[in-house]
Amino acid sequence: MSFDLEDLRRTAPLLLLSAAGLVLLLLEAFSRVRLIGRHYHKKLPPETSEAYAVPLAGSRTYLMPLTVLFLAAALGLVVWLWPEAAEPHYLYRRMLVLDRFGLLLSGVCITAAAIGALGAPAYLREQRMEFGEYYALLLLSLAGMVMLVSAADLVSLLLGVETMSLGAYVLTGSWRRSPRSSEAAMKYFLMGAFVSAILLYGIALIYGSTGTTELAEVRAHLSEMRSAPVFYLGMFFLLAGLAFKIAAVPFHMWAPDVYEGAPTPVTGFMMAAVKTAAFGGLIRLCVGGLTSGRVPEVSTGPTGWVNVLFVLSALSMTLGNLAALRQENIKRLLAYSSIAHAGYLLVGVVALGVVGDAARAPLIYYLLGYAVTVVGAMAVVAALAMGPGQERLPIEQWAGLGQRHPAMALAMTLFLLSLGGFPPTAGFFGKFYLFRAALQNPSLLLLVLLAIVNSLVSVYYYLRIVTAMYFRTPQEEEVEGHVPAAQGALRLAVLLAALLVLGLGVWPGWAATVAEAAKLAG
Amino acid sequence: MDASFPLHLIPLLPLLGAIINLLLGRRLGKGAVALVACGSVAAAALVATRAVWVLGTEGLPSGALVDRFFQADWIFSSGDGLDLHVSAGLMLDRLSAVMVLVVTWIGLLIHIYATGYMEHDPGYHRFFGYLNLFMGAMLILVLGDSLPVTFVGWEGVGVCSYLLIGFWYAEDKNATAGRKAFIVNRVGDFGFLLGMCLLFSLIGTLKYSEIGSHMQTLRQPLWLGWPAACFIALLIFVGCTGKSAQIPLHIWLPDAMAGPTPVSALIHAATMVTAGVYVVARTHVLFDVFPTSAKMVVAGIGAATALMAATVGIVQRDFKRILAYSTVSQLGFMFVGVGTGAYAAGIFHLMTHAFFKAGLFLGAGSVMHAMGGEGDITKMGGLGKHLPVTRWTFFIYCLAIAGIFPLAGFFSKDAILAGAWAARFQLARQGFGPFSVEWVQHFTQDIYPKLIWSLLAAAALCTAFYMWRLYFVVFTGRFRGTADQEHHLHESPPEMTVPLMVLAAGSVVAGWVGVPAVMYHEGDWFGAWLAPVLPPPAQELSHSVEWGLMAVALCLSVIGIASAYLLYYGGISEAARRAAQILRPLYLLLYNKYYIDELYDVVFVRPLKRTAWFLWYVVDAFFIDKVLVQGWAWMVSMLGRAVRYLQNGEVQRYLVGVLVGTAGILWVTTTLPPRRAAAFRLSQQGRRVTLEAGGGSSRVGLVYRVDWESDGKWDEVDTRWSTLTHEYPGQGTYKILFEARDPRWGTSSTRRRVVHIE
Amino acid sequence: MLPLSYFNYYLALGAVLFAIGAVGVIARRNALIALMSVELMLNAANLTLVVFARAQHDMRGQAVAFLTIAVAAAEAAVGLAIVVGVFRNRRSTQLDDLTMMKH
Repeated sequence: MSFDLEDLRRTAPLLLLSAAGLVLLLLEAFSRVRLIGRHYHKKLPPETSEAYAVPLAGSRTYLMPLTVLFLAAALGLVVWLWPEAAEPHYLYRRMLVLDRFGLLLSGVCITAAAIGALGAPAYLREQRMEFGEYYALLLLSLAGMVMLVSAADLVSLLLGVETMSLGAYVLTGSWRRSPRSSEAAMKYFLMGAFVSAILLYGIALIYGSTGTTELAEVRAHLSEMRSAPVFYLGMFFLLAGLAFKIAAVPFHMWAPDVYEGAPTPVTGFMMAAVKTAAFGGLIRLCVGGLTSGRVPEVSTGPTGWVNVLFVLSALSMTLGNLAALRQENIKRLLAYSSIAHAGYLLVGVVALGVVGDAARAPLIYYLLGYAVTVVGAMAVVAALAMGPGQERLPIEQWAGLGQRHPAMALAMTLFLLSLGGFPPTAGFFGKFYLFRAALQNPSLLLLVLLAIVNSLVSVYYYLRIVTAMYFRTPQEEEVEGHVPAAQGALRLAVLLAALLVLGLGVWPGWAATVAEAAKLAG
Repeated sequence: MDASFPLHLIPLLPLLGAIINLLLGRRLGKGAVALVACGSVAAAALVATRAVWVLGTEGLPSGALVDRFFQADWIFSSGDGLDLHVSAGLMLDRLSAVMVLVVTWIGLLIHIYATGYMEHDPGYHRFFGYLNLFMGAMLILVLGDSLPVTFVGWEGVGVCSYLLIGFWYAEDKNATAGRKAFIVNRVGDFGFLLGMCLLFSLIGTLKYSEIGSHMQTLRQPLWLGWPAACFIALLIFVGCTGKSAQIPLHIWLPDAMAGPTPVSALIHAATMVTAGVYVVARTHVLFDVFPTSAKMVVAGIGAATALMAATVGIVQRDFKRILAYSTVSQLGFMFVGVGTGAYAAGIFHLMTHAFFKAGLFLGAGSVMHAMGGEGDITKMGGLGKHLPVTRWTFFIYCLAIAGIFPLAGFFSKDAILAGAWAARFQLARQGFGPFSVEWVQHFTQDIYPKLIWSLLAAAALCTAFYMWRLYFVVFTGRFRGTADQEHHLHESPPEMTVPLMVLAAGSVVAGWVGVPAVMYHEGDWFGAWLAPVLPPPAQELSHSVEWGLMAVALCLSVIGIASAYLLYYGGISEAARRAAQILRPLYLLLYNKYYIDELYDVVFVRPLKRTAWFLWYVVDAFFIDKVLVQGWAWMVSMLGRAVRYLQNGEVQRYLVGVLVGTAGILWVTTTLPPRRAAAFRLSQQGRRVTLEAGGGSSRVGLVYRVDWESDGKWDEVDTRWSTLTHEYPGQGTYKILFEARDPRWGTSSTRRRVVHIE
Repeated sequence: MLPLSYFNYYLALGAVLFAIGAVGVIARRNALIALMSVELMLNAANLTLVVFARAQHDMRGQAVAFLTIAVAAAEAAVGLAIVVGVFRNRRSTQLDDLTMMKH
């Protein structure tokens, strides 16, 4: 086998994202900064009192548009490769694969990242944490995601997860003066590294029992595996590693703390893009590597991955929702809600194992809808900050926003309704398609019923926020109409997300058709 | 090949106006709000007119314009064998053309009027936002090319109606009226929805243009030998009775007058309430299926409503309430039109009625504006000299609605009466119980249509009477209000009077497009316009009968006006008071609207309230609050404690969670399947015993062994068959020992069971 | 079955190292030592990979081990930066002090 130049072309989005990340890193290194002492911002809360660097006005304003430009170009490349990907192409000696499934999920991640990036500078400036590497890390992390969702080998899967996560760790801790941010980064990193080791150990065990790390070959060798306990242990470890990334119970415990502590645009990015990519990897692993008609017990057997994910799904949605019921901090609430959504999404993965390919399109649709919804919700949270170091996190501070900031409140209502699964939003059709696909096999009836009961319960805490915004009077007076962070680009981000959520909900057929076309290789 | 036209612009423009006004209206100022509201509607009206022009001048084979931009899969979901496709699009054919023109142009006039009427209201931008939203929804309703799209508009106008009835929500009465309208409409909508579901389940499409090609399926008997179409039609009609305020769901409309008067004119007179008539005409193929029982119901309910509401209107004292009952009554006329197969007549009346009823309401608004919000007509009187424009336009509307030749109402009402007279209903080909086939046929073909005609004729008489009673009491005689009110009497500003004059002109000429053929042989231009979409009435009347009917109707109108003149000219006469005294029981019955609200109160509301009480105190307060909520809260707090214990912020405890979780899942997935598989089932047939392992699909890959007699010797070892049979040699009691094992983990589980062999 | 014999010892060593690493991450309160324990876990996995590669006469496992070393280096770099970030904020690297966010 030789190195094929075609491979470079077919991984153009990945290469572009990596190169763009490096370019931005260089640009940042050359931008001028100056140090500003603590006397400059006496009004800052104590936790932000360190001396810190603030760029010269205007010196970095071009980074965000440049990033968005790069992301748009990457999205363009995805669209450009779409026709070609109708048939899967294996690349780099079967390390990666170009197929429509991977392309579409890359597109979802890139879109979510682009919406998030649009909103970032306003927030970063408002919170006095302008951090130039932000965009570089965003792009590099995104490159990891693209690798993850097009992985055809356990090794590229691992590299994708690592690249994605390393970027996310640093982004989480990028608010250097905030102890919360650094605490979150520490927790995320330590657990992530721990789980990476488990993942790697799982790969070693799979390699030991099947003699290969390539997903398609793993599948082919399932029937002649050398030691079943070693294989199954390896499989559990791999599943645990990816379940950690999607924040499924009991591997979820990092999520509330990290999502709360990370800067809000980063939280949105992680909730949407990291989760989507991790699900992409999970689907690649489970469907591409661990499903074989000749050895059904690996998937649907008693210790098969379907059963494992079944348990994770039931636990995630139930515990995620129960914990969310008690939350007073909006980021934490949405973090638990994202755990619950991981549970709903796992219903789709389970259905992929039980009813087969029919569950693929609904799953992709759900991921798309969920990604744009949470990115939008986080953009609203970022936009409604009340001043440097003062985000609007406790739900009681959301009281009366319906009058103060009608547009933002309306957008937030839309996102919350989508999360709760109300028509006419993306969330409704996501759940509708997904549960409908899962119900094709009666053995999933209980799980779907549990999911439906859970979504009903979740309505309570989503509507709590809506109620606060529209039917409660604010506790203290704020300056009328003061949305310091809600500048043009951030507003645009919210608007884009809202339009996508509404568009997917009012016109689900189009996206469903595209998702239907996004076939999985192998 | 359909012609394409950007129809989506028509609803989109008012919707954009609504968005601008609702989001930015407060900052824009009143002038800009009014400009956006009226401008968007005017633009929509121009686009609509252009579309209708294109439709009329280009001979389109399919007879409809479609919107290519707005035409795609709306809801799409594929599954095994059952694909769900719902497409959505907009369509303009000759029927929707009439509706679109009426809605946009009359809507525009009312918008202009409202800029004057709402001048001093603090909720100015909100009002116009809702009003534009309503226009958008209504246009979606009439332009929808399938039932779901229509339903989207249908619900949209319902919501706007609710919002606008309760527009002055600070007053409890208004909010209550809004809620009542909403709830009553929901009852009807439920029927509409059921009808849609039934239709979709039978033919798999809801597009108007495709229903016609599935008539074979729809004619199949569904239940009791009646065709499916009949049930669907009736269910859809239930929705129409809600929206168009027909018996038994008419009760919301009079209360809906709590809203601002332009709203009453636009929504509760000219447009929204006629949506039911439009939908019946739109889906007429369903109503036309033999036997035509659905149409009998439509016509019967229409006629009963027409008379009921007209009689109630005679004794009411509130200006807008009288007009509301008049609307209910006129809607009844329209339903008789579509119910007797004279579809064009029904739609014709819909159109003419929009002119004069909108005008009447706007006139009422003008009067109440001058009276400082007073609505009781007994406190008015002699207003003619203070409000000349209002008075004379009102005079024209009253003539029109009474059906005086040659004003609009005359022609449309005449068409409906003629249709009713000519109708021949068909019912099942067999008799019912004691009634023979011939008798049933006689009844449906001869008696029933004449009955309906007589009800309508009586209603027409009452209409002339109550409208002119209103006119005389309000505009003639001397003023009966307070001196303060009299001092402030003034004619309304031009933005209010100009629409009145335009509508008055319309009320005169609108009927001329549908002159009956007996008068002028090419006169029924309106019927000819609709002929490609709506079938003409099946039966023709002879010329003499038609002239006769016309004369009778005109006579009844004149009699009505004359008696109103005698009793009420120059104020409420002594004779009128005495008549009310003598006929007191009847008067009270009518004044209290046949006690229907009270009846509903006893039959529905109070039992519901009692049920609600039960639900509240027993189910809610005890079961849900005490048991479920507090129990739930207890459970949540217990779980919360567990979560708190683990989620205590220490990252290392999280890591323990990860390990414990992995171990737990490992343990569950390795030990549970054998345990479930070991729970076996037994079935016995004589001495043959069949054993089946439990666990369903999760037992793939397990192995089993069994000892049929528990003698310590395994009879089957490591078999992969989950179903085992054994034949016992003789009778007795045996103990079966069964073990399921997962060979990969070595986990196993054993169960015993006793079996008796006779 | 694997041609194990003496390979079993290496595999067991890998498993034991992995477990020691895991216990270290969980039990040691100092962030730096926890990081070192993570490195131990990664190396245990590496050892296992190499052993399997050797047992199967396949180079893939060894190649993966090299990749892993690079990954571990990147992780160490990021990890140390994060520890420094935490230290700057609260002058401590004890993991059980990081309980600002909980429940």
